[in-house]
Amino acid sequence: MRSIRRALRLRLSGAALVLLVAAAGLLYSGVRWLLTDQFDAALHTKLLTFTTLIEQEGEGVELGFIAQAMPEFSAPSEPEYVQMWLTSRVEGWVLYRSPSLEGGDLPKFAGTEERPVIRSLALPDGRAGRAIGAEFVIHHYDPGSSGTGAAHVLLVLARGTAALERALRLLLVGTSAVILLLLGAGLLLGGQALTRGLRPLDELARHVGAIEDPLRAPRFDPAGVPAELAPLVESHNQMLGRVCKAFERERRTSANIAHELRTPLAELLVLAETAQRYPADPLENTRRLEELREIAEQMSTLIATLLELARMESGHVPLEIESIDLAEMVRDCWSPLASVADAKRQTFRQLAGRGPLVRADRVALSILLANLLRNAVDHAPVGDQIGCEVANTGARCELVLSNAANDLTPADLDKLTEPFWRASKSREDRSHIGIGLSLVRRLAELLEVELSFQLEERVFRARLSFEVC
Amino acid sequence: MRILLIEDSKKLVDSLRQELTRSGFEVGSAANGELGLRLALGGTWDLVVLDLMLPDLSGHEVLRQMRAQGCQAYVLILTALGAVEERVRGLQAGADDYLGKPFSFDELLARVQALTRRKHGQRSPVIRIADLEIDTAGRIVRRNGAVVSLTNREYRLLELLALRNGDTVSRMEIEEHLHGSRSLPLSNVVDSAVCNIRAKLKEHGAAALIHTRPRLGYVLSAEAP
Repeated sequence: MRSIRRALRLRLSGAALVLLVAAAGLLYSGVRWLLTDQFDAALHTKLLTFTTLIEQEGEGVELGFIAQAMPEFSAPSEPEYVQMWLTSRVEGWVLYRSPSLEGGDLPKFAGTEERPVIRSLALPDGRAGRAIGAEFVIHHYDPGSSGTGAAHVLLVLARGTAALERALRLLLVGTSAVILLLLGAGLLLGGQALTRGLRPLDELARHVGAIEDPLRAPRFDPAGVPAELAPLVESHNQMLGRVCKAFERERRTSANIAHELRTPLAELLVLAETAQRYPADPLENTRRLEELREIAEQMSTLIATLLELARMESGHVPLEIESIDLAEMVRDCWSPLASVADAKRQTFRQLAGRGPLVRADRVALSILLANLLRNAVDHAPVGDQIGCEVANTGARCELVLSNAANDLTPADLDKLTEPFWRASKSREDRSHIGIGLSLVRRLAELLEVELSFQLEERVFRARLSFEVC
Repeated sequence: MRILLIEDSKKLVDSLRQELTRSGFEVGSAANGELGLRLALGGTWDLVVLDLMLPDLSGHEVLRQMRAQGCQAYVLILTALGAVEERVRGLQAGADDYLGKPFSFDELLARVQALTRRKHGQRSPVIRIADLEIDTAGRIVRRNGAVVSLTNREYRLLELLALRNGDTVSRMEIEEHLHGSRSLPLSNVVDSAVCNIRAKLKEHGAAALIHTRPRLGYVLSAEAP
């Protein structure tokens, strides 16, 4: 399973390692360049010193230094080397060779005094070193009587780089050690920071994991939750609320189903026991049997409706979607209810002419509309007007059925589509099972029709939004 | 013994009323919670048979308000909600018994009788006073082993006196027990019934068991008070 903690730790460690190595590399390269530059600058300084120590008088060239005064050129170990050539007279004529060369030669290469050539090389004793070479005209020149010009001298000066390499190695080792230390400390501190940073997530996970009964589970306290987790906490709490509502709805439905089924069973049992215990005359027996049949029929209707609802809930309802004239469908569905409405002196505002064409299954839509219209007729007061309006809103059209609903409260709207919820407070009203609007809701879902209920100023409105053909 | 049925199924109420009346109880009824609570608090009921899923006011709320307002009647919950937590909730709210639907009337009757005995401190369904034996479960009265044939009203009167275990029962109390709110003051129904019972008991034993306490009422005991 992917772990945010592990992924963050790996990525942060990787990034830290790359950054540290890059920084250390830059630092090492910089210091190396600096030290080498200083080394070369020291060679250059020494070369310039040598240029001032050579004098020429006429054709005679003299070295103005004493070799013994410069022990670095004759040291038994790790000596420096210098060699000078008079290039203007005889090619290759050696003017001076340091004792450390022991008769050998340094390679000849030259720049100018200002821009000498510096290169790495293997010293005569095999050590690694750097050498500087420049060709210059003797500064202290006295032409005397000879009339010859100032001689040109090529000077190559070489020095071992062992000390420099040691310093650079030390720098490399030190830098690597610092990288490792920083990386270790970074892992430790980063791990702690991650743990601390992800603590709210852990708490949320513990909270969610500890939920056994959503109905009794406390909400996660959003106080002190980081901004990144706040939407998650809010969603979690909202989801818990929805789960509680769903559980509560299921509990109410189960209780209602139990009540609706077990009460008539109790009626049947008590009636049967009474009939057994107290045999009656044929007339009374006929009455009892009639009552038993009536109860059994009510139970049968209830069970059939429950099964139908279960079938719809499972989604196993074949639908044949076609274009349907909505106004015509409303008129067809109203037709069988007209006499019932007349008896209650209710009027129905019919949709005239042809209505919008909507996409739906004819049978499912007729059941849906018939249930809504039946609901309106049954619950509207005597003499009320039942409204029916259609409004086009571009790609959709909305059918609104309305009626006065004096007994309904806004709080009832959420429960309208719950099975067995009835506006009528009396369960003795067996003309309603309380399942009609549950069917309406499920059919609307199947037909992908948007269904909503509103209650404003004691007027109940059922709104159906269809896709127009 | 007065029983109030608070139940929204009219057919069930009618059947239960008929059966319980035949078994010697006076039965009142209410089809919703609000009316049921009003009747429960406003009358003297020995037992309230209470459905939980009621219109207007739930059975739980009816029970809570009954107990909150000091109603001492026994409460038997008769409901389709048979889950353990529902039973526990009902009993913890102050109910004395719980019976799930569907049920056998015989079981309901047995539970009603058990609650009746509990009210009068009786554990056995058979009450014995000297040579008189009253089987409250079978509603059979015997004296010296012989069955004494009593009418429904006579049995209920004798049972009331027996359940009071030697205590004096006032005439008004007997009238209310027999006729409830429909009792007629100054009628001689009680005297007449007592006279009949005495006569029927005397057929199987000589000793007088029902004694009159002038201006106080009647007492059933082996010895005269």
